[in-house]
Amino acid sequence: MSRAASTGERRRLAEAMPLAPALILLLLVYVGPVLWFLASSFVGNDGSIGLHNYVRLFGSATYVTTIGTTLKLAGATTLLCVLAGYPVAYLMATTRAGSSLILLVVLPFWTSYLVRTFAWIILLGRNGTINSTLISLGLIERPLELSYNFFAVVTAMTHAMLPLAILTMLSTMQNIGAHYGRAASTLGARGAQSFLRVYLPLSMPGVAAAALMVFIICLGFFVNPALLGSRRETVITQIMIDQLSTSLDWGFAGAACVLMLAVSLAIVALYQSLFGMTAVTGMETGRSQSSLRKSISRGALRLAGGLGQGLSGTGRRIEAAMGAIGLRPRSGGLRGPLALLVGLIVAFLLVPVLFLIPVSFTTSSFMRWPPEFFTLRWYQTYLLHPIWVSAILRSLLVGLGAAIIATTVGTPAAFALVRRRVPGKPALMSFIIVPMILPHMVLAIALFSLYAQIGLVGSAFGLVIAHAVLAIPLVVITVSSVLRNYDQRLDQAASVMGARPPRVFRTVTLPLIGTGMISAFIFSFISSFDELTVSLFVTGGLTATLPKQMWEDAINQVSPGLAAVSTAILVGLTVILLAVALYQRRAGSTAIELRG
Amino acid sequence: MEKTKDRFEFGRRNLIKGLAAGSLVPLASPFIGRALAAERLVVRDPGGVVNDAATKAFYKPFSQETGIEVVGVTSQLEPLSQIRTIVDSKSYLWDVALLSLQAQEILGKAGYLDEIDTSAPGIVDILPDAKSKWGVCMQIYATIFAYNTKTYGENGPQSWEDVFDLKKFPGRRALRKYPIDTLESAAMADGIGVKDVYPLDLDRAFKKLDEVKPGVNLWWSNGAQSSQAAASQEVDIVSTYNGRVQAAIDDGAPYKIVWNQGIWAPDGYAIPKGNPKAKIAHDFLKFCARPDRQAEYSKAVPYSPPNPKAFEFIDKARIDLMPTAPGRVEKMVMENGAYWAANLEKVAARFNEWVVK
Repeated sequence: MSRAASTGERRRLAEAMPLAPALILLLLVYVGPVLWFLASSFVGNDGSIGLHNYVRLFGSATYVTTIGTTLKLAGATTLLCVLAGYPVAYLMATTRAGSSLILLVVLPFWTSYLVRTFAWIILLGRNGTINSTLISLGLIERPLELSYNFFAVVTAMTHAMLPLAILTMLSTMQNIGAHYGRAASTLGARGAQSFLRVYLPLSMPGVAAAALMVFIICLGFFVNPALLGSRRETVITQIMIDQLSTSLDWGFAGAACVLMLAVSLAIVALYQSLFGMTAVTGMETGRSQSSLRKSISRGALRLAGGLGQGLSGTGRRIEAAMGAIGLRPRSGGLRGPLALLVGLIVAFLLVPVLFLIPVSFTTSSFMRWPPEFFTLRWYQTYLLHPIWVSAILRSLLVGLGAAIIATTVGTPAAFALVRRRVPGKPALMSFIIVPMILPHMVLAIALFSLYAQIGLVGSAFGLVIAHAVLAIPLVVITVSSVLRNYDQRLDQAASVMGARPPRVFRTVTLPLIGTGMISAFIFSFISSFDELTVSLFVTGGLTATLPKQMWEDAINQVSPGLAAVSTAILVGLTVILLAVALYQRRAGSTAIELRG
Repeated sequence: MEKTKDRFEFGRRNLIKGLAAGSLVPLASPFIGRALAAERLVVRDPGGVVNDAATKAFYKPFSQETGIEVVGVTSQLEPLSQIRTIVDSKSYLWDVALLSLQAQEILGKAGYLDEIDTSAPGIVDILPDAKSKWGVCMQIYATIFAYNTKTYGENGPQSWEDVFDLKKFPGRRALRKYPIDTLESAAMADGIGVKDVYPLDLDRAFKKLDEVKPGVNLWWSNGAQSSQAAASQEVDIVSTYNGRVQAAIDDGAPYKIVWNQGIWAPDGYAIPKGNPKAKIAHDFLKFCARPDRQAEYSKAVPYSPPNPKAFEFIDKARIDLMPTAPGRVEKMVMENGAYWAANLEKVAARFNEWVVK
């Protein structure tokens, strides 16, 4: 940074110029509306300025209780996601076979989470798949109470968030070199000890990043609690939606949003003081460790070391016992059980996704288990219905529009952040990822109140812009990770050969970062294609995108047609995903050479 | 499938070029939408069986007679805020909305709905109880309960008192997560007669609700959820609209409807104020008041027609499934729209607080 400070003010501005479009869009469509909306929370119903809305918020048991419920559900889900996701990410990062799991893990990630929620309704019902299977096997006599409770909600939420947790941890683990483990064993650490004292601490930033992302996204969840929970699982977002749909009390909704923001920001701040933003953004911040962070990590290290000693002692005893009964432990001892565990977790991820396929062919007019075969009626009535066709088309167009804007605006920003000497990079990066780390609900309500005043409610344009802002962080993170692995000497070589900067960009840089841009484009598209909260509000409950139409259908119609639509989307997205994988494999050969 | 794959293999340049052209479409689509809207009427309904029946009885026949396309759009129950947003922002995304009588009352008095010509043919015949200055009612439904005959045989609960008695009738229950209907049934469960339900004794009703609370597994917020719970036999007793549980019964679910102490109410179409297409919307409302149309609607979903002349077109077996079949209305209570128009907001806050506690 000190070098940047010594150059002139104008030069610095020029260096930062590529960031301008992204920052302007963020200010206009995110920060501006959100701040303006939050400010309205200090205006009471009668127009007076003060804390009335907050007094009401904390004075009513409804809000205090539902905030508690929201935190409890998010906390339980985060814990389960980290615990179940760690072994999967570990296996994927450390073994060749494990890395091929990625397609299976990603598959549920790219299928609508609404769809997955319905699968859980049928799986967990009193006469659902799990109960009827257990009864027919004679394992239980009376159905277990699996639905309409905390268990059902947390199961479905964990299922929804687990892929994200795995991918976040994986990206950190992939950067832990195998030589650390070898060094540890050279110094005499046994398997468990080497893992606990070396690998686990090194992977902690990834674990924390996963926990952060999962927790914050969970704060905004309302679909699972609404459809799978009992009255005790009512979350604050649901109350806000109910409240806004009977009385348009913006000030009060604003107060609830401020509270949600405060919780999210507190968690982000805690995270940043412990780990920095590196694992989320992939960007070196270069900050020195805070003393809090140091003491916590030292404590954790000591704890892990102690555990390692204990475990390796136990491990030795188990090995000895196994040897005694004639089982010789293979190298890497625990691989077998680990693979089994990971297999079970991956099955947990996949079963609900594949599950709706048979249900979509049922002749019953309700989603029921077992399905009664066989009809294509649901495919015909749903996929040909004008409302569904227009919802699908609108979602495709909105997704494409949002992805184009996000990629066009985000790519130059990523360039500036990686290549240029821009002052305050960490702060800028934190600013750009704001839409990703704050609950979507806040943007949804803020934009709804803004759009209602300027007549943009229900317009496709308003939705495209909103989704584009949400996708900018995805683009910046994806493209900058490609840029960081990109060897700049290739550009320099082209310049030396006489190419001017535009030509260098067009003939060398663009083709090389193309894969990254396409991935960013596809991430943005899918994030828009699957987005519900903002669509629900910004459309004013009027025009429908596909997820919104599915949500309406889910709460108003509940027919096997939903399973048919889900299956069609699953097939469609899988085809896209496979095409991308194929494309990346083709383009990937050059990318891998560059990395070396 | 093959086609999608090919497109992705065209290469980067074509892809980017194609996408750049595609970006113009979403930007232009609001205008396309507006141009098409001239010959289209968008009607909000609560989905499920209501949407199916309205499509058969009102939407399609109206299109055939006038050439104007009618599209049913589903939204959550009681969309008060959406109507206010539509009128305040002048973005008329719904031209007509199906609303409860008290929603018509609340919105109409606040100036959000067009007044109806109540002397127009068809509309003039509608029952006095189902008449409103701001809407044309096309269905009378009843909130009743039904029990699973596999669980209780023929000796299931016969009154709200039985429904709220967890000892006498153990089993899973589904109730509506909303003060309207749920508080009325609690009041009757506590021994208040059908004639004395209003004004509601809230303290008594909430105290009675405390008793049934541990036995309620599903608090549904939309009718279809209750249909689904009955169809998959998720609960033993379900309190819902008669048409919603009938849909499950028709699909083979073993439930029996109990009409005793039911709560009946009319619903109807209303027009958000200031709509440039108001004339077509008013024509549509007159169309829906016609006896033959209301009869057609009642054939698709067992709700009673508010226009008594419609009964000439309906056979006796069908009338048996309706709330107003002979001998039923006397044992029921009519939902008091004026009470709820005045008290809904306050009572809803108390109900929400109670339900999450």
